[in-house]
Amino acid sequence: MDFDLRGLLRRVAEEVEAEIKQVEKELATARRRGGRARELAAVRDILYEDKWFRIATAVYARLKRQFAEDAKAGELLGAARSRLFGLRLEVVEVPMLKIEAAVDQDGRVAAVRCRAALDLGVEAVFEGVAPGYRLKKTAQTSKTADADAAEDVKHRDGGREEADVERRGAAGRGDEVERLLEEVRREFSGLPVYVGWRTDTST
Amino acid sequence: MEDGYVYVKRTAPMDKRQFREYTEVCRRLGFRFDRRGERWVKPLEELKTA
Repeated sequence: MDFDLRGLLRRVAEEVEAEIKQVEKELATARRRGGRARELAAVRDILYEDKWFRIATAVYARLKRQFAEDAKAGELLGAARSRLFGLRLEVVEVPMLKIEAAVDQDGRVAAVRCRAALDLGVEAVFEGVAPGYRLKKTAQTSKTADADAAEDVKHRDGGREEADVERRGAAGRGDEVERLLEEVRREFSGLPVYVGWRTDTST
Repeated sequence: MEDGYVYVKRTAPMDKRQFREYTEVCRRLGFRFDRRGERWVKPLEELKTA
């Protein structure tokens, strides 16, 4: 399977960045002529915040469509790391996303591992082998890749533990600060967010 | 009251509905998005007087 990982990443990033640029353009126009500048600025901020989350999710989903899930992926990647069987390891790393690929002599991607740090303390991992790829004399039994990757994202939620640490820490900072933090937390009830407090103001 | 700021950030992936709700609550509470720190922030003092 000939698969250009860097090209995939570049295309996805360009799509997301084009959307941000479009909003920046509309915002500049709104500021000159007067208009919905405030609303556009809010949209722009959200797009900036969500940029790497969206890129990581899209790359992860597209990789899952291209590769069958297989336990042998780790074996092939390991082989590539030690440069056996003519495989080489190619690593693409950007914020929130690390892709490792075992590439054969013809440039075909044999196996891939995508680690998407989708958010604070949360990691999605996908390992897949190109359908029909053989490792030495062991035939790979390929499964059909699930097209809807989003449903299969495995993650661990580190938020609860962090929030507990925060609550314990807040105990010594005075009741008023803690009361305000609790009020804010209540507003986000049911959402996976972390509400914290810092003394430095250099944001 | 000590000086400082309150910040909010996500701890897990959100679907579209959750993300919209999250950003709406941030804006309603008067938080602004800090692009460098990649989180929503609001001075504690402002929160106290709100």
